[in-house]
Amino acid sequence: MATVEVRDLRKRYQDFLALDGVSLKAESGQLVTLLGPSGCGKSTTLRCLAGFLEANGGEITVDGESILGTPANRRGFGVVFQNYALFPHMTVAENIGYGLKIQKLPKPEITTRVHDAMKLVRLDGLGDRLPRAISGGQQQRVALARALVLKPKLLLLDEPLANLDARLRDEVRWLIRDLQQQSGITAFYVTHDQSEAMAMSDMVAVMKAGRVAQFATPREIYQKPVERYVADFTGEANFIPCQSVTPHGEGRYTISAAGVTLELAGVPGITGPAELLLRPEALSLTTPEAGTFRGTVTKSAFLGAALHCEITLNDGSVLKLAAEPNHHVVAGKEVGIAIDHTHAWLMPEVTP
Amino acid sequence: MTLRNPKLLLAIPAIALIFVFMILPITNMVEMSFRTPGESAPFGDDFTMMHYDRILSDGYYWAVLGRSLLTAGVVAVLCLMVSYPIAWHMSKATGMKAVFLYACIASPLMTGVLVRNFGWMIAAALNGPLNEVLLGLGIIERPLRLLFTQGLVILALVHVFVPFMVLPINNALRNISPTLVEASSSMGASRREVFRDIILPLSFPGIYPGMILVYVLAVAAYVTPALLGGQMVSYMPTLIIGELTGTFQWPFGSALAIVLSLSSILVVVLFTALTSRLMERSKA
Amino acid sequence: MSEMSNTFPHQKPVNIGFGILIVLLYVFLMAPLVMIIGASFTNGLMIEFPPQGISLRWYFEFFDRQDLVDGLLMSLRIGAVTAVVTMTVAMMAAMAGQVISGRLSGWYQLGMTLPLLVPELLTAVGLLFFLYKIQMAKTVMGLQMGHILMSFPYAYVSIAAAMRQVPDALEEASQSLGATGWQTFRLVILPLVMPGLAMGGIFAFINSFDLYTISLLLKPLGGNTLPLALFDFLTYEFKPTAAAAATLSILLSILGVALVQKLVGLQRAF
Repeated sequence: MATVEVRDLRKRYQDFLALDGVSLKAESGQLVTLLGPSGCGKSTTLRCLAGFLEANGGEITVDGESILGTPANRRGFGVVFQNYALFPHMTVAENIGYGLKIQKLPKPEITTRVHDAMKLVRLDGLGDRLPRAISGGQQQRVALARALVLKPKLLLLDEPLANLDARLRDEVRWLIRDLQQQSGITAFYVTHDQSEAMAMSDMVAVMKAGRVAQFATPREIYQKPVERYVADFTGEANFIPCQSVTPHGEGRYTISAAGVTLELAGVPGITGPAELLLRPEALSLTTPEAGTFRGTVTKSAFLGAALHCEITLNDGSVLKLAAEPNHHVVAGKEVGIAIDHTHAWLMPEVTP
Repeated sequence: MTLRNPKLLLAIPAIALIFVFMILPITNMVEMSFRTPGESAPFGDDFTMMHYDRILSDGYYWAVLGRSLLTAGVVAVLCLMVSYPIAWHMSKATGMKAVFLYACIASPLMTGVLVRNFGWMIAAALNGPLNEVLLGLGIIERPLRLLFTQGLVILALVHVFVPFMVLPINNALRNISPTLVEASSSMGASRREVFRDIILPLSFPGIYPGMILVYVLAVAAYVTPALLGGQMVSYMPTLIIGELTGTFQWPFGSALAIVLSLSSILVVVLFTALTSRLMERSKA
Repeated sequence: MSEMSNTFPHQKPVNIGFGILIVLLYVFLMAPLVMIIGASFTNGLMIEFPPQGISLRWYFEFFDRQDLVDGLLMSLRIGAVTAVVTMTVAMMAAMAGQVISGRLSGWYQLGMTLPLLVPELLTAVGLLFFLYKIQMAKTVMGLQMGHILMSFPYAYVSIAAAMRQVPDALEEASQSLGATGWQTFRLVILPLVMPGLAMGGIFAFINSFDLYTISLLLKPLGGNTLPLALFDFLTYEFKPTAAAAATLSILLSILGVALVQKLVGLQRAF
């Protein structure tokens, strides 16, 4: 449908730099997630895209044409808000049909399209209700239908699941993804929930203090983060500082960490100090002799599906891992830790 | 009956105050309106419908009642027109600016009606500022006599009641989530359409009480017509007070007051009925 | 969201026509007050705006007029008693209101603000007959009761709003720590609602100070409140003395506004 490019976007409030050069690109039909903690600039970016905020610098293009001079009401984008922003004085059908009415379409066409949109999000029969008379999940689906019925070039979703309880969140999440893929609409999706970002996106932009820390596929973001901030934000992670790093070839290194020498992949071009990223699932318990690392169990907790352990290595670093639940682990026991090398990853040490 | 919470007893003085000094007296007034006129006392001992007959059969009272109701309607509508922009402007303000604007609304509100009307007397003098502005704009050629005209009464009443309208509308506007405006504009609505479709209907929970309060208070306003209306035009309140303090016709004065109240309640009921659908939908 | 939002950043943020309209409306709001204050400082013999020269002569004149000064004193006295009584009664009523819940609570609120919602004229006429019946007509006591009644809702609304801000848990916490009901009230509730209570008193005082219609019908023999005296003065003499008296009244209300801002903030008060 539309290719969207954001280049070096800047937004400044009196004494606060909200966006410090954000660059992103969404290919036609992709769902791009802006992921990060509150205050990182993800909502600000979305609001600049929607036209609710005016950027101080940079460029946003849709299919190669700048939209910065176009006001929000002429951009033709669909926006879904965190609090749904349904018009409380209009019925469900009136809410969905509002944009069509603004376009002054003939009444029968509005009725048909509203009806189809309601069917699409499974809201049949609720057309005459007021928003306050339906549930949160239904309200969110009205918001979605309201945006989609206009056949927007671009769909912008601002934490659309944040106000739903866990069970509904899953349901609506799949609905959003299905509808987006069916209609082939390019979409931007703002969230602070990494699992949501992983599950839904074609591309994820992890944002940090008004910048994009990494822009890549969910798999890359998780397995090949460019820095500790990204690794931390996308899931449970262990970090071990490296004593020495010797690069050989593009993105291959030989390192020594916690008294062990390893050969593994990492962020290309590391020259300074580096740290080793080990996701819990890259680690497994074994006998002290068989393991790559050797350490002492300091904590263990039975969580049903898994046994969570903390193991302190000889150099003092702590590794968290999930062991098979029936594994016999007690605090104080000496164990070995085996590493799946394909899940180990070297990153430069970046001062936050 | 057992008292669930002894704290409820604390309401007794307040309930007694309102019941004894307001509900009883007003009930009393209803009774008074059916009394025969007194010879040497303000009222007689027997009961009669004659006062209502007299009011309803005399075109003069119909005219005065009509004037009072109409004037109050005009005042309420003008008040809305003056108050809405102020409330809108106020609802956007934050920080010290908001404090200043609230002070601009609160200061007249907390100044007595009499004092404020007196200000309009000064403004409306033959060589006063109001005439000078009108002359300066070329609207009139020589100074107009403004004092003791209906126009000045309406102007002063609007001024008296503007704060009563501004405050509820301001609150209603502040309660409208800004994302609704964003949602509406993202769906293609222009500024004007956002206002017509979203802001205006959703501010109705402020407009409604403002209109009702201003109307009811304006119908029964005494000071302003008494001070600025002069002897030429009568309004119901001046007539009522005249009957009570001038000619001491208490039963007839009561009947006038009750006719006035009932007709203004009727207007309120009509207004409520006409706007009930909008109110039902737009209330929070 | 703390981010400032402007949904129409591409349109001029301030429409000039609208700006002029707003200025004119505020001029309209403030004009009568400005004219009175201006006229009170005139050096001429007429009430006029703009004033002729500047002097304080009409203030001296005001304080030389026994009838006006008596009116002022009477208004101050009645206002003070009104404030104290309404604060007490409204405080109690607000505490009772706290334990009323659901539908009944709405009716209770409505009942407590009834004197504000029913036109003053009706209440005044009713009270005139009623006081006559209970032989309190034309007494200061009768007038005082009228003022207390009319000012009560202002005190109630302010205090009830302040009470709602006090979490129920505080009272329970205080009792769990061994405080009696009275101690809880004096040491926990009262300090917390003090600003609202004071504001209620200010509103009640100023409302009483400004009342006209009810005072006209209930006025005691030989006594006048300031608004009554001022009305008579305006009808028969119309000299700048009236502007001086009115300015004092405006000053009082501005003082009230400033106090309310200091106590709870105007935005929360209205």
